[in-house]
Amino acid sequence: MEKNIHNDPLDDYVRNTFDDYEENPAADMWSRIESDLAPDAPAVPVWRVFYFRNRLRMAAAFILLLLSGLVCEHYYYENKLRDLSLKTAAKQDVPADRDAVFSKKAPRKAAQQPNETAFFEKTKRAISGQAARKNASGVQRSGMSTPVPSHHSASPAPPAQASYPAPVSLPGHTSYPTTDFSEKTDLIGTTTNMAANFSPDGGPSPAVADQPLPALGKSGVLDPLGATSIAPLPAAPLPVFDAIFERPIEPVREPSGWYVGLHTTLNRTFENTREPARRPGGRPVFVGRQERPQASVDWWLKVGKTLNRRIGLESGIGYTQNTRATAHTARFRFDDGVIQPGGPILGQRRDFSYDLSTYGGSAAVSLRMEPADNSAPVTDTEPVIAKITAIEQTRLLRIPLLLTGRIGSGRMQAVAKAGLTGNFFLKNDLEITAGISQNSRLRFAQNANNIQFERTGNFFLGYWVSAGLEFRWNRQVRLVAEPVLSGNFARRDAQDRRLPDQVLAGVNVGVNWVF
Amino acid sequence: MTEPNLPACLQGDRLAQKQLFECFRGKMFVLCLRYANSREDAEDILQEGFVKVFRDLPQYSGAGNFEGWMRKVFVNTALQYLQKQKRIPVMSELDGQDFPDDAEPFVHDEPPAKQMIQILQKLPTGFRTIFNLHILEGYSHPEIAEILGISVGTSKSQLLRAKAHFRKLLEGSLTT
Repeated sequence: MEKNIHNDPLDDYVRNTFDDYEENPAADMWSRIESDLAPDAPAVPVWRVFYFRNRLRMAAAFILLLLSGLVCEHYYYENKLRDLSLKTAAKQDVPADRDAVFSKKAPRKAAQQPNETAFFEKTKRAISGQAARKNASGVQRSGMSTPVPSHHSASPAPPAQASYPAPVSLPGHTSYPTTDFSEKTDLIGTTTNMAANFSPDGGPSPAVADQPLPALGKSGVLDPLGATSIAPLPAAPLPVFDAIFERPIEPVREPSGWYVGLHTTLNRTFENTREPARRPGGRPVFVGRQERPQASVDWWLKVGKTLNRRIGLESGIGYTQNTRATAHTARFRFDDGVIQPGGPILGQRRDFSYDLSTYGGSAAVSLRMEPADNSAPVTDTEPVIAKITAIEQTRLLRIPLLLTGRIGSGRMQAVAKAGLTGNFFLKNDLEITAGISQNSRLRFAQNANNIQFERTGNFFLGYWVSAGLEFRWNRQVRLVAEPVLSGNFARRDAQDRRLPDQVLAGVNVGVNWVF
Repeated sequence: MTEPNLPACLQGDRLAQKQLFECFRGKMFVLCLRYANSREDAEDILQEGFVKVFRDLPQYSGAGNFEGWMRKVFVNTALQYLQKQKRIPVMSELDGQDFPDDAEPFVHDEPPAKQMIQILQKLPTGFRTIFNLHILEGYSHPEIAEILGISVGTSKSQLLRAKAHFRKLLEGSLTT
């Protein structure tokens, strides 16, 4: 800076007037400066918040719809199968109350009542015949509500009673009560027991016919006098149907074909980068390349439907988070830079601008360089070489639509899948982390690097190809392991330049739950 | 006035930064007032300038006067501010224009520097910038030409016109 050589009294007058003159700014000036100095919270653009929230809502709604669909379908098939089971039982002449024994939920149907009536009538006749025989032999027998041991029981028959006291007429109980078989609903258990002790032709089982009839306990109405000496029989075991009736064959439940799965894919990420040609009059373009293949993990909630034994469809929702370290080398001549005020040597602080092409989009970058030595100006032909490293953070929501094929039978099957993936950027940020000047005569002007990241479209299409094995653990659980090759189709930035592509090679493992 | 603790400022010590601010705010505010069109603009420049000083402090090598380095930062900030506001016109546009000399009389109980600031603020921005850079900051015409992106000849001619205009305004203020 040279001193003003003109000796104008006005100049001196002005300089002297301002010499040592001070004026105070507004009182809140320091707080304004302080607020500017505070580290900025990372600003999230409004559109991105909105976009992110909407995507989350969409994903949540999709999962909810999917799950409710699956639950509905599950119950629909359950009911259908139950109906089918009842119909099969009716065809095989099985009392419908069998279902009531095993499951209280099974409804009785009017159509089955004629069969039941015939069955009970048979039983009634058989019991009446037995009672008559016992009475003739002078043995008092109990009412029909007394459980009778099954002839299937391995335990020996209870010891025969020498004699039963004669019936005593009590007020209101002048005769033995008899079972009213028409009230079948109250006698389901009893009837079933009885059914277990009679041969299919309605006659009494020989084993039962020879057994002495047990007495009732205190609670019974038949034996009020001898109750103290005769212990009530223990409760009979559950009825055994198979003695008389073949257990109806339940229809085999065919799987619905739907399945949901939790999968994870471990990937190695490879990049396919091309240096875009510089357009006439345009700024130079450099490509940020990842320095080495990097690992990434995808998480998937998958839903699939097998259309037949071989072919199926699979979709779902996936999430991937990826942090890539990239590097590029910006090369210029010193006279390519735009002169900026300031710097150690006037006119030698310069801005070098270029476009950076990366996976997430393109960025306009400006580097401010100046001579490293304050006393050594550089020439216009001086090469400017700067190695820049950047961190790119992406979060992706992925929705695949895959065609699946299965080969083989038995527990192990070969599975192949191929299809498209829709990819949504939930987060896509680029940050320059370091810059190293490769020319020792130049250095970066501190805190002057500038980057404006122009993201690519938030949606892009990709592909997925995999082939592996599926192991049937049991009727519902299947384990999957399959090598995967996935990636994205060609994408372009706002200037219609091709962006770097990614190819992911990895292994997908997961568990499927079949309905 | 206490000396600013530069190493502490470098480490981001707020107290030391405030001390530095207290130390230089008066002088730097006057510099900003000289370049700005109004007091509000000057405060904006002062705010930006101090933020730059604290952020670029590692660039100060220690060689030379710290105040001189600070002044350079503030001058650059003021020029960038005016450029951002598009208040520095192309210098050739000023040629042949007549500017009003609506000089206001000096108020005698105000310091002359304050009155001179008022006169400076009446000058067109281009004239004021060259006047400041040459007479008060001591930049040469080639330097001004490079900074403002004009020719040396334009710088010289504009300075002459700026001085003539300033003199006129000053004389008007003193005589009324």
